[in-house]
Amino acid sequence: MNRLKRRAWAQLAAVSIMALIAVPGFLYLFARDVGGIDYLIFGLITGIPAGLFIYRRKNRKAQQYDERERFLLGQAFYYGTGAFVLFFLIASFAAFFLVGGQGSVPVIFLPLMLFIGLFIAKGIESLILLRLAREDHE
Amino acid sequence: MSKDLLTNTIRRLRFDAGEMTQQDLADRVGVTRQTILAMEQNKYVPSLALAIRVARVFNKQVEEVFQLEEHP
Repeated sequence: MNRLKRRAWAQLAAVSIMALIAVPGFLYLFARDVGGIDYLIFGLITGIPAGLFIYRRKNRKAQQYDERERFLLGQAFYYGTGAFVLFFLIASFAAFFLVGGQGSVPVIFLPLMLFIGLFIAKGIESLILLRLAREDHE
Repeated sequence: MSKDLLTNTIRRLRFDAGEMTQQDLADRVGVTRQTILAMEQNKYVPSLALAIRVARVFNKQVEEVFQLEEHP
């Protein structure tokens, strides 16, 4: 397995673990109808380790990738970002069309939309990277 | 829109150079073996810097290693 594949699998695993922790936690807090600060604390508890993990990996590996690998990473990031924008557009317009211009949505909808979008973006990025790295065989 | 194709003779040059392996060439130009493989299969177009480094390994001009097939 080449290092791009390893990176893609590690990223996919990190996103999956984050989702497994964040989704039930988020739903639990929502069900208890806690204040915004509790969400923030929960977000920091789950988000900071993930952020540090990704930052550390990126720093450690940045010098090792050659130009083609950096190109493939860029391609994967491009598609991930595209998926994020697409999801954000669909979610925004879905809310608009469902409740109308004068309607209202719960405030929780905003961070939820952002985090689901980020999960989708990273998931798509990992899958695209896996696909691109799959061609690395002789 | 033109669909130009950049081909190369790296594979032949490697064998002419004492059956140099992809890994040997990769080490000498500072990339991974997969990148050499992708270049040989015309799946990756290298940067100008990498193209020059590859040409230098074989003591050739860049255009002796890389050829542009123009398809207007």
